[in-house]
Amino acid sequence: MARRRNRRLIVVCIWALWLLLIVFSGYVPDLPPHYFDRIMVCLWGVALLVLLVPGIFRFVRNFGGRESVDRDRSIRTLFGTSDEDRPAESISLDEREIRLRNAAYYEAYFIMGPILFIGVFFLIIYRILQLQAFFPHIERTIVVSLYVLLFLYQALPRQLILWHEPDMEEAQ
Amino acid sequence: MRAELFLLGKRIDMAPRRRRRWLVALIYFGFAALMTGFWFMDQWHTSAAYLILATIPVNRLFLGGYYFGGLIKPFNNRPPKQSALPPPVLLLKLRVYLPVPATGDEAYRNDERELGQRNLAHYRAYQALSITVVILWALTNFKAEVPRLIARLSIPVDMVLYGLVTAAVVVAITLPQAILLWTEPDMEEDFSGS
Repeated sequence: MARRRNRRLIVVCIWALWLLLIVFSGYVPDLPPHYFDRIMVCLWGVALLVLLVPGIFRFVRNFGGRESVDRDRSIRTLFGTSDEDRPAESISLDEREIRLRNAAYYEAYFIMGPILFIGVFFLIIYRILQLQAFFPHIERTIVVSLYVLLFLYQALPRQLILWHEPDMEEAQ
Repeated sequence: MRAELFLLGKRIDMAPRRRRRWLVALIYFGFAALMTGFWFMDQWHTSAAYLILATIPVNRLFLGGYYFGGLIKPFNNRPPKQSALPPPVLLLKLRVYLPVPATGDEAYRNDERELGQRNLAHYRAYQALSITVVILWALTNFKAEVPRLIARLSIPVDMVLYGLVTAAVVVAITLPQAILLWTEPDMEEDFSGS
């Protein structure tokens, strides 16, 4: 994963898979309820995987900059990424990584802001103009939209870092 | 960050952190009061839009950041749009002035330290908004899947959600600036330290 091309490919694949599921589950109006529930569980599974992928494979380091020494690292060891041999000071983020993290969050904030704003604008218009007749499945749409938003909020900064960081050989 | 505000013809020294914190507290108290008032007026039916619009003058006059004016320099590092029109009559009558622009790029250009602070403030604001999104999602899910859990609420859950979303937008537009004003130390201290 030193190459940016590969990292971008992973980000695109994750988004493609995830958007496919969202479109399939959220905007098919005639799904029976139990079917909808199963798809929501499936969406949760994909989202958890996506959220855990950067941590498991160590693509992006923990944003908090701190990791417990007593933490069970069995999953990471499975992938050969254990931190057990590393000194504690090398686990926390260095100055460059903190700068990178904060810059990614700044960029993500500017992407999420308009999305949140458009959502609220729609809700306000919906309430003022009483558009229930035009959007009979509004409740499901809101749940799915918030699910999208939740996922975006959690995953976007990490994915921005994966997307923007240059090839590691180049950086060196 | 600028060290003073011009309000009703008076120059207010905002270098001490205590004063900046008071300003932030007053602004959010004002938003909370507005929101409560709007609830009694029309249950946020149309007034929610006005609440969001109210963030524009607050940012222009006090906070800055997303607009030119206020205490924080523009986040986007771009010069303000030049206008040949005179300032609005209301501002002139209230004797509210935008800070005197510094010469050259200093009025809008952030140096490396300020960019770092800006990004850190957005990092912190992002955490707060993430929690809000989780709460929103949980509430909508409870409403759809387990309605008995929220049936005891005296207010309809739709109204709770609507109010929460509106408040989230208001906070999203103002929080990074508020974090900067709240956390930055007294400016005199800063100078003596350096």
